[in-house]
Amino acid sequence: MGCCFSSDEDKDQDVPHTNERTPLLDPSHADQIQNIQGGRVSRNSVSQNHKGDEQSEFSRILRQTAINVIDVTSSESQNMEQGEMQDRATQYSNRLNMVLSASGKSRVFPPHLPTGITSPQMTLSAPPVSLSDVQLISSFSEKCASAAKEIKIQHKESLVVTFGVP
Amino acid sequence: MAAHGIDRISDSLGYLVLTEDGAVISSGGQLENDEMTATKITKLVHTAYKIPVTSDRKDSLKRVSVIIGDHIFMITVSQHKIFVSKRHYSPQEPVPA
Repeated sequence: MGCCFSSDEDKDQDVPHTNERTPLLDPSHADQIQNIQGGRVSRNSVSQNHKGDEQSEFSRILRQTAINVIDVTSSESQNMEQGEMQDRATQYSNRLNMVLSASGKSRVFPPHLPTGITSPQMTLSAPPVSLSDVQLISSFSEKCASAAKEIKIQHKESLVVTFGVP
Repeated sequence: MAAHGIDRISDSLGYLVLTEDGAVISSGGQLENDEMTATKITKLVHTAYKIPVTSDRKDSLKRVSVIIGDHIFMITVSQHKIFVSKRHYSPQEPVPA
């Protein structure tokens, strides 16, 4: 009894379309309540009610999780070829970009990176850049930064020009 | 397996293998599951590829080095994946010419 009662109540709270006309207790509830009251109303039933509440809460969480889970084992994605996966990835990102650009959202996925080099291990284990190169780059970037700071706009002519004024 | 041997670089402190949109495929060492670094590096790589290395745009970058203090992040791209290796940076003193 208690189990049904509490789970129904939970559902009512979860329903997103409740408005001011939605009855707080629907008729079936009232019957159940009367049943409870007509039957044994004792501490025992209260504790049972509480237990049922927990049970229904658990089952609700379980149900919700089951709904949210995407069953990946049933699809054939495990046997998918590398090339096919790339194709699909490209197709999906194109589709996504199309939708995103149509909806006026600015977020567009970055374009694909080129294939790049063949052996990442070799490139990454190669000796790091020499100190002189680093010094060269940092001195040049410092110079660029200071040059950019020095840029000033010289005001020469008036911005608003009047035409044909006698 | 997915690390393509970059987990075996001798003086490596950590490594990351990322998809081109920045998802971590494989990671280890100090960079294990370091998604924040992964996001930053992904942005960096995408920006770096926009910079033309030569005027005819035939060549693109081979390796990006980010030096922070006495550490260096070496970044490269291979097979549409981003490879990152964090290593100690102990530069050789420049030989005076």
